[in-house]
Amino acid sequence: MSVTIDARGLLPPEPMERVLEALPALARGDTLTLLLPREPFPLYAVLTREGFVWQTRLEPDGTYVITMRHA
Amino acid sequence: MSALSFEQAPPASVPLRFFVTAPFFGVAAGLVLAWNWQAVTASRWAPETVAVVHLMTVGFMLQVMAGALLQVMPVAVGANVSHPKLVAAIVHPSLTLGGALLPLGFLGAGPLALQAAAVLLAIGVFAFVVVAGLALARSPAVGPPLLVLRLAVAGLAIAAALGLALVSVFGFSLALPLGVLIDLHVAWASLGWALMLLLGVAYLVVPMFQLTPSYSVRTGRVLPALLLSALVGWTVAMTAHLEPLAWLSTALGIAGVSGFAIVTLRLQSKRRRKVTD
Ligand code: HEM
Repeated sequence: MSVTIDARGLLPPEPMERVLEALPALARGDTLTLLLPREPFPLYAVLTREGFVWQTRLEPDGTYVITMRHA
Repeated sequence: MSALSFEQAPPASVPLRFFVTAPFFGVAAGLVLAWNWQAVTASRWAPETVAVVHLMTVGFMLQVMAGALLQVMPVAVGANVSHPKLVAAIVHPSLTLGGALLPLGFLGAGPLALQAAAVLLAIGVFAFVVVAGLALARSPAVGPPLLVLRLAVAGLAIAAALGLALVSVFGFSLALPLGVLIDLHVAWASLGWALMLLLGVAYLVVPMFQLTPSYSVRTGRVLPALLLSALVGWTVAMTAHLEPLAWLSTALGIAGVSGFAIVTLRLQSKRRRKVTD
């Protein structure tokens, strides 16, 4: 199963809070996808610490798509 | 897949010292105006005018932005500054003392003040440029903000080098073509450093805090390309006296600046509604 959080209309720190709420429920093999208008470096720090890996893609409209899963 | 580790932002004392000293330069600019505003309004070349300009641009703006960039580069574009405390301990006193001596030198404190200002500002600005440049060069970020911040730091280096060349004309009595140097210094300082920086910061904060759609990737690259080609064009046109190239460069510069304004106003008119669920 994969979950998507579209955080493009949310003020900081809400995008980070949404992801931190969703991560514990993420099963192995599942992916969590975040849509954001910027690259979330503070989130990367948390992901590294908590043992997740991610991939970042930049869409032509300027949206960053960050796909996360367990390492 | 990324396995990089991202350090936290530097301790608050690193940017704070810049924010504490910067306002005093604004106060000093106000005092010069209160003391002799007639000179400032009478001529662009009055010593008081040039002093006020640099109290604001070097004393206040450069000071604030050096501190702010050291603080936000890691979080905003993944550019981690190594040894931030040591960097601040070198950059801050040099910018503060140099930033005070430069306007004093313009106001007639003598060549020694200008010479000392030149040495101190060279140390402060280039230490900052090297450290920020290295951090930005090593950043894994993707997309236009990183590109534009790199260009802005390069623009600062060029603007400062031209400023130091100008001070050498006055302070060390070197014979350089003054008019061309001043025009190029003003162009690189305002479009290459200040506006380029504003562009990079706008890409990050307009969508983040005003909840607008993002600047598209293409727009994000075209705007700095216009500004950069205007600057390079001007530099060549003015040193080689090529009138048509100067006009073309001016057109490119106007397109870049007004394009930035128009795109930003359009984004702001299309604010996203807050998603509620
Ligand atoms: C290392 C730092 C700098 C040095 C040493 C420096 C030095 C100078 C010098 C010697 C002049 C010519 C003054 C004259 O003709 O009497 C000048 C002009 C000027 N500089 Fe700078 N400058 C520096 C940084 C900056 C920055 C960062 C900005 C703007 C962001 C700036 C904006 C200007 C402007 C607008 C003028 C024209 C002043 C006028 O027309 O009244 N400078 N600078």
